[in-house]
Amino acid sequence: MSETKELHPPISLPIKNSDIKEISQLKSGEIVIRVANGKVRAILEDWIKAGLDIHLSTIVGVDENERIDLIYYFMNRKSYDSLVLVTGLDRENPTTDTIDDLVSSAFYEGEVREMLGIKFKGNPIERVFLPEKWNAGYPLRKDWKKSEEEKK
Amino acid sequence: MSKLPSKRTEINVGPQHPALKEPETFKVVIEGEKVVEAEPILGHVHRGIEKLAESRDYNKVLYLAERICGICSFAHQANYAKGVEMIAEVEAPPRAQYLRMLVAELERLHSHMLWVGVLAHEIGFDTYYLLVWKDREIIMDMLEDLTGNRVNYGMNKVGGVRQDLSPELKKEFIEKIPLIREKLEEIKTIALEDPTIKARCNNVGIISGELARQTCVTGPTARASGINWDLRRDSPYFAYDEVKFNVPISEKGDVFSKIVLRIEEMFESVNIIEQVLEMIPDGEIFNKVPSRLNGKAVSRIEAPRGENFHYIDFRESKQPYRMRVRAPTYANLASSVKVLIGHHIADVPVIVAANDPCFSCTDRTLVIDKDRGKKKLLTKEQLRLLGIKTYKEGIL
Repeated sequence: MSETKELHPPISLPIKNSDIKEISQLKSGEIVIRVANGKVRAILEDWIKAGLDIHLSTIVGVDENERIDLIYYFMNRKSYDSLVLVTGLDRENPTTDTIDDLVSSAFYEGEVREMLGIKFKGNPIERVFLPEKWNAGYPLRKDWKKSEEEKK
Repeated sequence: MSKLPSKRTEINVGPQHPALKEPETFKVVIEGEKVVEAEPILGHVHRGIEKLAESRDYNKVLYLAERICGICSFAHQANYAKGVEMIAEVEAPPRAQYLRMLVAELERLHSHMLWVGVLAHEIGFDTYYLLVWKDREIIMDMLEDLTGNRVNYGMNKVGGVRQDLSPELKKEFIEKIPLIREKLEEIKTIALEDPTIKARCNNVGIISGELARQTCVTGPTARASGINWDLRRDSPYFAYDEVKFNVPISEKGDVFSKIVLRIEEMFESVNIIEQVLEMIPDGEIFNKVPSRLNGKAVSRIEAPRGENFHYIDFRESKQPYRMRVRAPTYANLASSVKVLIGHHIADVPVIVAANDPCFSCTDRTLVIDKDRGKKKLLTKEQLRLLGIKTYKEGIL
């Protein structure tokens, strides 16, 4: 990762080099680190063990056609530095672990599940925004059509 | 407590509420008078704004973003505009940045005043509520004079602002500042000295520092629980790094400390407005932005209720590929649910209102008596009166 380090400002939160799959930067300046599915939880566990004061702003789900990306926006409350972790999930069977027991994220995860169909193992929330008997698919997937809602 | 029965009863608090604008239900299980479980039911007004944004060009999304919230409409619109400007690599001119700060602080003032009034109403102190809302009209008039509107100001463009501050209006605003300070002093004196407010809010709904950190709360809710974090100071945007202000902090985390904290914040907002009016540079208020954009950005703003988060993603297009909005109330929700547990049912409206939620809660209450299987509907007004009556008779 030696070339990429010179291109970007230093990574604000400790992360093992072996976990990093790709580094990029948002136009607003935050470093984005792509990690493998399931790594976000392990990284967060390490941060909490190291006594870091972590704030989770939100989780964003983005349909990238071939996969679904989950974007976790973390901030260190001591230095106010942000770090974005991204993990790509298989579109056919998107499953990952909840982080709700480490840092409150149950509603964000529930929302991503409703809107993009991602399963979070261990998330207790059943329903967030959509109606109780909603069976018209996942609205924020790019191939979702209005007609699916009308079919209902 | 021995007088009260200790049956498990499930109550639905919500989803209509005349005072707090947007609907929201809290399903609360109580034993006797104590809350033992609480669960929020969201989505009554889910409008699919994130999906809608994907089919509109970026200028039209401005007005969509403004309509996310009626109270902090400027915060959402300015945050979106700021994000798109970062993607376009165009900065709004300095005068526009100062004008944005001016409207943002006026909005914080009217939003906090609205909240103090709503909270006073929840505890049955309607004189105070009307007094605060009367003073709020000074701010609303200023916003109307500057932008033309009282609620959705339509102030921002991508690349700047739409309305300029004329020299006459600037003079008028400067003359109004001592009046606002005087009114705020009155509001503060009543809040600190009135026994009703102390009795109903002191030591009620305490969000400990630990709970606040675990549930990732933001804004005044976080600052009242000892989290020293304000985006205006810690990740400055607009021209907040050029003005001086303090960030009030409290360690206690109860409803009373949130009242005091928000009133302190209002004084700081007046200080910022005063500096903005003094320092505002001359010049253009708008820069041109290209019509097709490419890139991703996260834009964050300290809205009156806390961190307002927009994720914006453009891919060589006029329309955003993805737009994600996380309003501050959404971040503070987990804490309000957890903090209800262990409190009396009479405190529910006050605790829910304490986070300044941008949804409604207690218009209609469904009481299900599990043992007898009877259903009873309580209106929000009845629940409010029950709260006032319970405290008056000193049952608790």
